[in-house]
Amino acid sequence: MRAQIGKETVFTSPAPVSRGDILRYVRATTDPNPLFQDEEFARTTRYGGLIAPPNMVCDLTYNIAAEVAEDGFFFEGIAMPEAFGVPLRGEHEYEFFEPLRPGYVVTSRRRIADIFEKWGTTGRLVFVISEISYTNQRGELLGINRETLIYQLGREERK
Amino acid sequence: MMAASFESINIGDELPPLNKHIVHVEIMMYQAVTWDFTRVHYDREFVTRTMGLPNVFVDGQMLGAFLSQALTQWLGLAGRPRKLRYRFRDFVYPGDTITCKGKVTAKYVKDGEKLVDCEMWMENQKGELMVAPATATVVFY
Repeated sequence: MRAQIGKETVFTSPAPVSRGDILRYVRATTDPNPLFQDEEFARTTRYGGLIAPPNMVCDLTYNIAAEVAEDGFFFEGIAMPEAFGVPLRGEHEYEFFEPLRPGYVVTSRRRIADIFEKWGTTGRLVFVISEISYTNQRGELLGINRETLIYQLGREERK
Repeated sequence: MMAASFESINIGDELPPLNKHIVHVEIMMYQAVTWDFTRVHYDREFVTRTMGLPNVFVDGQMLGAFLSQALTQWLGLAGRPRKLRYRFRDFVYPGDTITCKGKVTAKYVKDGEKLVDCEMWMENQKGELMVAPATATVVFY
């Protein structure tokens, strides 16, 4: 399992991020900030136009070809070492660079930084720490996301 | 929206708290726009049966979006978040009210940039910790 450390997956979104995506994200998170939704207002600021809220570049699943498993339910299409089931999120560490803007085609580079086991109250836990960088079509760095996912292998899943 | 300025900030200053009432449909909106259809965020029967939880729960990144919003609400046009780190403690459910809180822990100039560090956390309506510890760095223009 630890042999997966260092493994990299590169994925370029098949579609640019749209103003609609940003407006939907802003609506879902009930963000009143005009910088993220009012193009006329945003043009008067240093940004020169509407930008996405900072976390959005790290939050989007750019692979719209979402996988459906044999049981008919969604599973992450990202390259994971084994089929561990659906993880819980443990922690995120974001770093923000150039703001995400409508029209950007995002490439994400995911590298597995660490994998380790712990024993918790629910049994065997596997921690997978990945580092993902997000760039636009010009190669400009938009964000970095160091995410910890926790797979609960010790829990018996009743189907 | 509060418009902070680097000059006026003091260590120990509290960020204006941000309250969010959690609505099931808005959880679904978040899943839709991030294209993440993980079952535990919409299928109550599944999550109660397999995880023993009372209801579907909010995706952790949506909680992170609320923390970020607390920062951008405080900054206005005076600056921008540079870093945000946050760890999950407990589950947030539809019908809950969460509050994002923060406190300034450092203020400094580095490589010509005006930076402020904050400690942040999120509580639910019972005062239970939902997200902690969390830290942020913002840059002022």
